[in-house]
Amino acid sequence: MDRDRACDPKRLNALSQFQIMDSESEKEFDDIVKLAAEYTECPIAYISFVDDKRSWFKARIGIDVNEVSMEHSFCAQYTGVDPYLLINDIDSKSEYKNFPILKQYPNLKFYAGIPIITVDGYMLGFLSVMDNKSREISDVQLKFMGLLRDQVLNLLRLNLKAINIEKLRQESARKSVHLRNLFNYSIDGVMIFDSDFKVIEWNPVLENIFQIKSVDATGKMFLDLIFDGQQAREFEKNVETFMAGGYKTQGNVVFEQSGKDRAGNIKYLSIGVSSFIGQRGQYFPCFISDRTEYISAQKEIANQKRFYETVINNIPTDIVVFDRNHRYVFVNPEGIKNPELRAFAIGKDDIEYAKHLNRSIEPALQRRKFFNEAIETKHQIGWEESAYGLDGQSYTKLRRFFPIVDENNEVNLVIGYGLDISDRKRLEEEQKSLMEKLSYQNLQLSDFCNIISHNLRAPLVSMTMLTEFIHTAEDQEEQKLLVSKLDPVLNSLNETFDELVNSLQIQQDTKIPVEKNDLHDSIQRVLNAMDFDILHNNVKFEFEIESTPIISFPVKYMNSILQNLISNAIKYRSLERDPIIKISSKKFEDEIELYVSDNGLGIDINRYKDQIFKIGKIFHRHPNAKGFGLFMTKAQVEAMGGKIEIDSKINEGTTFKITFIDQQI
Amino acid sequence: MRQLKIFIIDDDSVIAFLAKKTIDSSNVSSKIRDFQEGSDALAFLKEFCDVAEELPDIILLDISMPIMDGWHFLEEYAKLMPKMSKKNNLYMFSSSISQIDIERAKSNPLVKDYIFKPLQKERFLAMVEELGETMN
Repeated sequence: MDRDRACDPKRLNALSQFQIMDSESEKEFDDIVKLAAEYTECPIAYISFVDDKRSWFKARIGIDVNEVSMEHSFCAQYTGVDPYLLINDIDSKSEYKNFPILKQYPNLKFYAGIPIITVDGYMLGFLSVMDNKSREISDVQLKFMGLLRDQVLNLLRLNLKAINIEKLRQESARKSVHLRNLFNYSIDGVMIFDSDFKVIEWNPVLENIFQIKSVDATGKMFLDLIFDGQQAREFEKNVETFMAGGYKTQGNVVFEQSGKDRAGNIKYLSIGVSSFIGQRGQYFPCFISDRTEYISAQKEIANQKRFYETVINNIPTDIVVFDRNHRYVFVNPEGIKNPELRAFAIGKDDIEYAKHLNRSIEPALQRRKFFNEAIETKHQIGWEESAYGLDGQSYTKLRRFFPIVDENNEVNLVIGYGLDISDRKRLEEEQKSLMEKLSYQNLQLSDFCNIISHNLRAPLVSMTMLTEFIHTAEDQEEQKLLVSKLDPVLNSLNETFDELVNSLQIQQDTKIPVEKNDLHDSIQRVLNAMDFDILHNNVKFEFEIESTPIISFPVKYMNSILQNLISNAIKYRSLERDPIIKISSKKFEDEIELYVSDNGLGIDINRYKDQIFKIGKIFHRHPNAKGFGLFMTKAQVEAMGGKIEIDSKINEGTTFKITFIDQQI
Repeated sequence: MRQLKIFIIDDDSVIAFLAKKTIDSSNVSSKIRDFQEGSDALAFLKEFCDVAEELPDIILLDISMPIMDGWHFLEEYAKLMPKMSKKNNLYMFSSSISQIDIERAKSNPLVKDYIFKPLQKERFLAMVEELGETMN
């Protein structure tokens, strides 16, 4: 066997299949070399196998050599032409001189070898005999050696079979372990049942799910083990069509249904059943996974979802989620009550939505401004929005934009809140007006205290003192003088007292009848009574009251008010010009404003605005000035819930404005 | 003792009369001048501001008066004060027992004290003593 042939990979592969190189010694091979030595009458015989480097001795007799290298082996001389290799004169050939085997056994002179060739034509090695003398070998002996060589091949074939069987056995064992592992450590429960629903296999997962041991389950009808009556019928129904196919059943059926464990706890199961034909009939592998926790988690999630939805849908707050382009992603029913509009809004921006409703886009533009601010600053923005709703009612909402910043510090969502604070606003307004009323009443009270201390105490003090002096007076003349001083004090006290009582009556008399006063008639009556003064002082009048001639007010007060204001206007006229008195009125919803203006002396309004309507306050010298008129006028106006205001400039004139409330029509 | 000059500024002539009687009864040598209106008193002070013998030692000033009330008078008086050639003590003189009036008067540095009407002899004598302290 030359080198090229020895190194042929296909040959080496064939050789390796037999797993013969470096194998243990075997009696069968040993017997063959014994027989070969005996029958050829050679002292030495051996079986060698050749790989790409060496010739290895599987069995030998008469020689103690384990292996020889390729180039120092006799078989390397074999050309493949003859059925055997014969060398008669080993010692005469110089090329063998370096063979280690000849160094060990220098007397060797004869070699005969028969190649061991597989049926596929691969040469594996040689069955060789050797002798210490130069000799011949007979044809019969060679034939016998051929038979022995065939026997070697038989042994090799047998070995190969054994090797393959072992391989198969190992493979099978491995697979079986895998299958068992698969079965035991499956995530799912695995059961195999037969066509009578009897359990053949029951894996540990099932033990866990149903709290039933494999030994207790195997051989039992599982319908009774893991189902109650109703559930068992449900199972049968689920697999009915599938199992009706009998031996032709193919594929699988997957369904979800509930079962129970050993203690009767309900289990939500996902079940898959398939089928195969085994040695003893038809079997049904059944995969069962426990969905109880998943289902209860799902239920919990659904509950939570329902909870949050209920909260968000019923909360009296607008909740809106916008994308970063101000388009609606979500809006709750409080935000947009009409479900169709709510559905419409999704994906639209606020301005499109306002246009869709044919509404002013102003509020939307305003919101856009705040929205952009929220996006830019990444901080919440809040403001109060007052506008008219779809129902035409005005509302005030406390609005907020909360930008939601993601892990990249970018705003992708903005949550908008709108809290309706219209009621609170109204309440605030009411509170404010109540406060005004209270503070006004407080002012009235303190006015009253002032009146007592200034206007009543002074004359009382004087009287007391005068009386004391009268008692201690030394002569009649002095007594007379002192008594004469009492008269003006008493008069003043009486007058003040009367006016005060009057004003108190006015304040208390809230049930005084309200009548319709034609303003023209009322003014005319007052002017008629003052005819003399008007003519005498050359007073001119201008009227602008056409639009609102009717005022609901007590007639007595109406006359008194007009009389007071007009007579004041004449009394405090400028001596530098003829008096002009202008009377006008305006109507606002249910209020009427009455203006009485003159071109008279005027009052320093900055200095005296707190005192103008107080009792006993006099601002100009006049023989009839007592400081009662405006005090009464104010009392009469305010008794009916109205208001009196003054504007004045020194030496230009004065305007009184009276507001009458509750003037329907 | 020299003659004290006292100004009473009050629209109520009876009160002025009574105050005069009280002062007379106190045996303090005095000359009383009364003004029905604040503007009259101001006009007088303005005219005689550098004539010390015409200027008052004590001023009794009513609060509630027509046209120019006591507070208004004080504002004008404050402007006049630096020009006056004689010091004096000014008292608010009122029937008002309102705490607001009292506090407002007492917080004004021009006002020596707040006196309730009527003027009592003892209070007047105390005023004379206070004047002595002020002058010293």
